[in-house]
Amino acid sequence: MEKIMTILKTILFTTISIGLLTVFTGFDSESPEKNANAETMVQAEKGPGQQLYKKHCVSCHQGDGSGVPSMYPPLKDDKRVLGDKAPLIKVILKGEKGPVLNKDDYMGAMASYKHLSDSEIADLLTYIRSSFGNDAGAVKPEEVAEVRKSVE
Amino acid sequence: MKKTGFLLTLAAVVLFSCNNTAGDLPGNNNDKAGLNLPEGFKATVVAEDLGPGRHIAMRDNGDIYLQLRNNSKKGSTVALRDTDGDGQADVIKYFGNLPGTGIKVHKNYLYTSTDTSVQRYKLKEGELLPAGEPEFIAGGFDNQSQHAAKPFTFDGEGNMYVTVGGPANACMEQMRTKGSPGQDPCPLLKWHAGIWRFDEDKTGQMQKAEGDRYATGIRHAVAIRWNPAADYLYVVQHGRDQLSQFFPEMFSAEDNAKLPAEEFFLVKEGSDFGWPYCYYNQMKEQKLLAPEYGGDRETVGRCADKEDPIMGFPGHYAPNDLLFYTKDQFPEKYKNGAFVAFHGSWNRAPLEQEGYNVVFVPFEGAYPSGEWTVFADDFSGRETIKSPSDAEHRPTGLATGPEGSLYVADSRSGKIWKIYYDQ
Repeated sequence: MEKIMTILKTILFTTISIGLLTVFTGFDSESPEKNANAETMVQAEKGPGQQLYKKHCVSCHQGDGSGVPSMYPPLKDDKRVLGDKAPLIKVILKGEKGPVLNKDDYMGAMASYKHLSDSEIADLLTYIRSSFGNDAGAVKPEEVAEVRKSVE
Repeated sequence: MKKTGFLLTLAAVVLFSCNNTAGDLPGNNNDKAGLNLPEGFKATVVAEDLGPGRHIAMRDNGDIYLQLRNNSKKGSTVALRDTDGDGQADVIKYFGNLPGTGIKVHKNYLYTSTDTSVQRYKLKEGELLPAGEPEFIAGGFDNQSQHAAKPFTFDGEGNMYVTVGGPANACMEQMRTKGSPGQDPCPLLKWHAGIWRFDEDKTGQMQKAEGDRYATGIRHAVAIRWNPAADYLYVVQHGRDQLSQFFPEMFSAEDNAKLPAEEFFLVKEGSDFGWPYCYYNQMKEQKLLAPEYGGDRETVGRCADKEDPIMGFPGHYAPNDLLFYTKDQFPEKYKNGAFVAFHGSWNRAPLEQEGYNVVFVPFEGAYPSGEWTVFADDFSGRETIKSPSDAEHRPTGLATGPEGSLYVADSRSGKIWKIYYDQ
């Protein structure tokens, strides 16, 4: 068990610190017993999460998650992105109007993305929370469904 | 040893010859202060780290005023004076608590704007800081979250023109949401997306009572300036965003990186430039129907009745200031021509970002007499810009000094460059 944990830690560390999918594939065959979190992360980085980010988010939040000064807040190293999942899910579902106050006044406006499915939002947020140097846990579709119930 | 000696000699020769070519203008350090400028032009850094800047204004005695985007502990407006003529400010003072974008020196007053008001301070001869409390000239603008800046200009006949941006991308029913149609008619046009005219001298004017809608269909004109040689108002519009994001079946990411044009308008009373119904394709030189209103890249429709720009710049460059060069220091071709400060793009991702420069447009009478060219570049300090936060500096404000130099202000850390001609 301890050995598996060590492998898992290595896997997580590698994914997060390097953020490259190619490195990960090398470990894949050697660790069949990955936990669900790690698996979701891999899928998000490789596939739908990144694709969804490119489609819906990249124009404002940029490819490196750095945002646009004074318009759109960065997604890297941001308290709201790395913190509790529910408020973050709520931003995706409801959209937001500036000013967003954290490090600066961000006056841009964000549309609601409630038309995305629970699993799409989960993939997207999992990608965002594990990219650009971010290191926060995956988001599950059930968690999105829960928040969706409360905001609708 | 011999080699080192040779190199030292070479360095000395190079240094000496450089010094030899230095001119007489004050502040000449035989440098371009990191900028890429045309032959014969040089630059010095007047000041830096003043705080995120917006527009900049100059007084006949050479004093400089920079409006800040945010309030700082020290104040919302910076006053700078160069007392020894070396081109660098040695007195820097902050005042006020009304941050924003617009700032102009006009008839012994310093006018500034917040996102909801224009006010003025009385200037006293010889004194750098204005005296007394500001007088509110125009206000009552909606507190809007997008395109809120209220830059302004004067026509020399007692009128002040204020930009009121459209608080939207293309007036969709649901803000910036894929598949949402455009509102028709767009209700935002009543109090936004145009230029409002006020009396420059009357206090307490409210947009919805005393304001006079001078022109409409302008999404957001941060760059606004009266051209005294042509005696017309000119603005450069921030064009719409996200064509490929909302209409991927019609526009590729490459299309979106180029389209639509940032439009340069000659504004007359009653002009309608077509936002949000239309956009301008600078390659086709055509005003086209926006996809939110049934456009398909080809259809002109109602846009046939809208006014065209006098020039189209590449998409998303973000024109943040406009200045007509009326001084005599620069070579003849610059006389009465236009400088445009481009803040630089964000909506070209995933392609590289562009703009982040100052361009020049030659003029003859009221119209451009040739193509635009990049005048000053390398403000960003980067070869390539993937996202706006890569840029160290972004041009956002322009002014000319009494001696005819061009001053450029930066929005990131608040740096000011003085660009001068020294053949």
